[in-house]
Amino acid sequence: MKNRLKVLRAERDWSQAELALRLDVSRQAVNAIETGKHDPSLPLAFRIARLFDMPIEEIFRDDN
Amino acid sequence: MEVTARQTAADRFARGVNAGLAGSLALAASALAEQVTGDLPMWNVAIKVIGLVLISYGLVTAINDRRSDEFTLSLWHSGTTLALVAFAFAAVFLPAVAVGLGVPRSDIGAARLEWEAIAVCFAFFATMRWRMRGGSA
Repeated sequence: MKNRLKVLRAERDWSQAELALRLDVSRQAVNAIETGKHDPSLPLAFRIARLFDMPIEEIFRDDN
Repeated sequence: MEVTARQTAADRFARGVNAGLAGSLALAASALAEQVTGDLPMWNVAIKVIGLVLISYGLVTAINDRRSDEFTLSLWHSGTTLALVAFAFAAVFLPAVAVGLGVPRSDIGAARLEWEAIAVCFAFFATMRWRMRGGSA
Protein backbone atom coordinates (compact mmCIF):
# COMPACT_ATOMS: atom_id res chain seq x y z
CA MET A 1 0.00 0.00 0.00
CA LYS A 2 1.38 3.37 -1.02
CA ASN A 3 0.37 6.63 0.62
CA ARG A 4 0.88 10.41 0.41
CA LEU A 5 1.21 10.96 4.11
CA LYS A 6 4.74 12.35 3.95
CA VAL A 7 3.82 14.85 1.22
CA LEU A 8 0.65 15.95 2.99
CA ARG A 9 2.58 16.37 6.24
CA ALA A 10 5.33 18.35 4.52
CA GLU A 11 2.75 20.65 2.88
CA ARG A 12 1.55 21.60 6.35
CA ASP A 13 5.09 21.85 7.70
CA TRP A 14 4.39 19.32 10.44
CA SER A 15 7.02 17.09 11.98
CA GLN A 16 6.37 13.37 12.44
CA ALA A 17 6.00 14.01 16.17
CA GLU A 18 3.41 16.72 15.52
CA LEU A 19 1.42 14.50 13.19
CA ALA A 20 1.64 11.65 15.70
CA LEU A 21 0.24 13.96 18.37
CA ARG A 22 -2.69 14.96 16.15
CA LEU A 23 -3.44 11.34 15.28
CA ASP A 24 -2.93 10.06 18.83
CA VAL A 25 -0.30 7.50 17.79
CA SER A 26 3.45 7.25 18.37
CA ARG A 27 6.11 8.89 16.21
CA GLN A 28 7.31 5.40 15.31
CA ALA A 29 3.87 4.55 13.93
CA VAL A 30 3.82 7.66 11.70
CA ASN A 31 7.28 6.83 10.41
CA ALA A 32 6.32 3.21 9.70
CA ILE A 33 3.18 4.28 7.82
CA GLU A 34 5.03 6.91 5.80
CA THR A 35 7.69 4.44 4.73
CA GLY A 36 5.10 1.81 3.83
CA LYS A 37 6.27 -0.63 6.50
CA HIS A 38 2.98 -0.60 8.35
CA ASP A 39 -0.53 -0.40 6.95
CA PRO A 40 -2.74 1.57 9.33
CA SER A 41 -5.92 0.08 10.74
CA LEU A 42 -9.21 1.27 9.24
CA PRO A 43 -10.02 3.51 12.25
CA LEU A 44 -6.58 5.17 11.98
CA ALA A 45 -6.95 5.56 8.21
CA PHE A 46 -10.26 7.35 8.82
CA ARG A 47 -8.61 9.61 11.42
CA ILE A 48 -5.88 10.46 8.90
CA ALA A 49 -8.48 11.21 6.23
CA ARG A 50 -10.46 13.42 8.60
CA LEU A 51 -7.31 15.27 9.70
CA PHE A 52 -6.34 16.11 6.12
CA ASP A 53 -9.98 16.57 5.08
CA MET A 54 -9.59 14.19 2.15
CA PRO A 55 -11.13 10.86 1.11
CA ILE A 56 -9.11 7.83 2.19
CA GLU A 57 -8.48 6.77 -1.40
CA GLU A 58 -6.76 10.08 -2.13
CA ILE A 59 -4.26 9.39 0.64
CA PHE A 60 -3.80 5.62 0.35
CA ARG A 61 -3.43 3.70 -2.89
CA ASP A 62 -3.58 -0.05 -3.28
CA ASP A 63 -0.50 -1.48 -5.02
CA ASN A 64 -2.76 -3.78 -7.02
CA MET B 1 6.65 19.70 21.68
CA GLU B 2 4.32 17.94 24.09
CA VAL B 3 5.21 14.31 24.83
CA THR B 4 2.15 12.16 25.33
CA ALA B 5 1.88 9.12 27.58
CA ARG B 6 1.44 7.07 24.40
CA GLN B 7 4.76 8.35 22.99
CA THR B 8 6.52 7.74 26.30
CA ALA B 9 5.20 4.16 26.35
CA ALA B 10 6.23 3.58 22.71
CA ASP B 11 9.74 4.87 23.46
CA ARG B 12 9.92 2.61 26.52
CA PHE B 13 8.77 -0.33 24.36
CA ALA B 14 11.60 0.42 21.89
CA ARG B 15 14.13 0.59 24.73
CA GLY B 16 12.84 -2.74 26.04
CA VAL B 17 13.27 -4.35 22.62
CA ASN B 18 16.85 -3.10 22.40
CA ALA B 19 17.60 -4.28 25.93
CA GLY B 20 16.06 -7.69 25.28
CA LEU B 21 18.02 -8.16 22.07
CA ALA B 22 21.27 -7.19 23.81
CA GLY B 23 20.43 -9.62 26.63
CA SER B 24 19.72 -12.46 24.18
CA LEU B 25 23.07 -11.90 22.48
CA ALA B 26 24.82 -11.76 25.86
CA LEU B 27 23.26 -15.08 26.92
CA ALA B 28 24.17 -16.68 23.59
CA ALA B 29 27.80 -15.52 23.92
CA SER B 30 27.91 -16.73 27.51
CA ALA B 31 26.46 -20.16 26.67
CA LEU B 32 28.85 -20.52 23.73
CA ALA B 33 31.86 -19.59 25.89
CA GLU B 34 30.73 -22.05 28.55
CA GLN B 35 30.44 -24.90 26.08
CA VAL B 36 33.71 -24.14 24.30
CA THR B 37 35.78 -23.80 27.50
CA GLY B 38 33.79 -26.35 29.52
CA ASP B 39 34.03 -23.98 32.45
CA LEU B 40 31.96 -21.24 34.08
CA PRO B 41 34.28 -18.53 35.45
CA MET B 42 32.98 -15.48 37.34
CA TRP B 43 33.12 -13.18 34.31
CA ASN B 44 30.85 -15.54 32.45
CA VAL B 45 28.45 -15.71 35.39
CA ALA B 46 28.39 -11.88 35.34
CA ILE B 47 27.50 -11.91 31.63
CA LYS B 48 24.69 -14.39 32.31
CA VAL B 49 23.29 -12.20 35.10
CA ILE B 50 23.47 -9.06 32.94
CA GLY B 51 21.81 -10.93 30.06
CA LEU B 52 19.01 -12.19 32.30
CA VAL B 53 18.41 -8.71 33.73
CA LEU B 54 18.23 -7.20 30.22
CA ILE B 55 15.89 -9.93 28.95
CA SER B 56 13.67 -9.59 32.03
CA TYR B 57 13.42 -5.83 31.50
CA GLY B 58 12.72 -6.37 27.79
CA LEU B 59 10.01 -8.95 28.41
CA VAL B 60 8.24 -6.96 31.14
CA THR B 61 8.38 -3.78 29.03
CA ALA B 62 7.21 -5.54 25.88
CA ILE B 63 4.26 -7.09 27.71
CA ASN B 64 3.26 -3.91 29.55
CA ASP B 65 3.68 -1.48 26.65
CA ARG B 66 2.64 -3.65 23.70
CA ARG B 67 -0.64 -1.74 23.41
CA SER B 68 1.01 1.69 23.28
CA ASP B 69 -0.47 2.02 19.82
CA GLU B 70 -1.30 -0.18 16.84
CA PHE B 71 2.28 -0.18 15.56
CA THR B 72 3.80 -1.51 18.80
CA LEU B 73 1.00 -4.10 18.91
CA SER B 74 1.86 -5.20 15.36
CA LEU B 75 5.53 -5.47 16.42
CA TRP B 76 4.44 -7.63 19.34
CA HIS B 77 2.45 -9.91 17.03
CA SER B 78 5.39 -10.29 14.64
CA GLY B 79 7.74 -11.02 17.55
CA THR B 80 5.53 -13.64 19.17
CA THR B 81 4.90 -15.37 15.84
CA LEU B 82 8.60 -15.62 15.00
CA ALA B 83 9.36 -16.72 18.58
CA LEU B 84 6.92 -19.61 18.17
CA VAL B 85 8.48 -20.57 14.84
CA ALA B 86 11.96 -20.37 16.42
CA PHE B 87 10.83 -22.64 19.26
CA ALA B 88 9.50 -25.22 16.81
CA PHE B 89 12.71 -25.18 14.77
CA ALA B 90 14.93 -25.25 17.85
CA ALA B 91 12.98 -28.13 19.37
CA VAL B 92 13.27 -30.17 16.18
CA PHE B 93 16.77 -29.30 14.97
CA LEU B 94 18.91 -28.45 18.04
CA PRO B 95 19.24 -32.07 19.23
CA ALA B 96 20.24 -33.14 15.72
CA VAL B 97 22.86 -30.36 15.52
CA ALA B 98 24.22 -31.30 18.96
CA VAL B 99 24.51 -34.98 18.00
CA GLY B 100 26.17 -33.92 14.76
CA LEU B 101 28.74 -31.93 16.77
CA GLY B 102 29.57 -35.05 18.77
CA VAL B 103 27.73 -34.18 21.99
CA PRO B 104 26.55 -37.39 23.70
CA ARG B 105 22.75 -37.63 23.83
CA SER B 106 22.86 -37.89 27.62
CA ASP B 107 24.56 -34.45 27.84
CA ILE B 108 22.12 -32.63 25.60
CA GLY B 109 19.30 -32.11 28.14
CA ALA B 110 20.11 -28.93 30.09
CA ALA B 111 22.06 -27.23 27.28
CA ARG B 112 19.17 -27.90 24.90
CA LEU B 113 16.72 -26.09 27.16
CA GLU B 114 19.10 -23.13 27.48
CA TRP B 115 19.65 -22.85 23.72
CA GLU B 116 15.93 -23.16 23.00
CA ALA B 117 15.23 -20.32 25.41
CA ILE B 118 17.96 -18.19 23.84
CA ALA B 119 16.65 -18.91 20.34
CA VAL B 120 13.10 -17.95 21.34
CA CYS B 121 14.19 -14.72 23.07
CA PHE B 122 16.49 -13.78 20.19
CA ALA B 123 13.78 -14.40 17.58
CA PHE B 124 11.24 -12.42 19.63
CA PHE B 125 13.39 -9.32 20.18
CA ALA B 126 15.31 -9.42 16.89
CA THR B 127 12.07 -9.56 14.86
CA MET B 128 10.64 -6.53 16.66
CA ARG B 129 13.94 -4.66 16.34
CA TRP B 130 14.14 -5.50 12.64
CA ARG B 131 10.63 -4.22 12.05
CA MET B 132 11.31 -1.06 14.04
CA ARG B 133 14.25 -0.43 11.70
CA GLY B 134 11.98 -0.72 8.67
CA GLY B 135 11.77 -4.42 7.86
CA SER B 136 8.44 -6.07 7.11
CA ALA B 137 7.29 -9.40 8.54
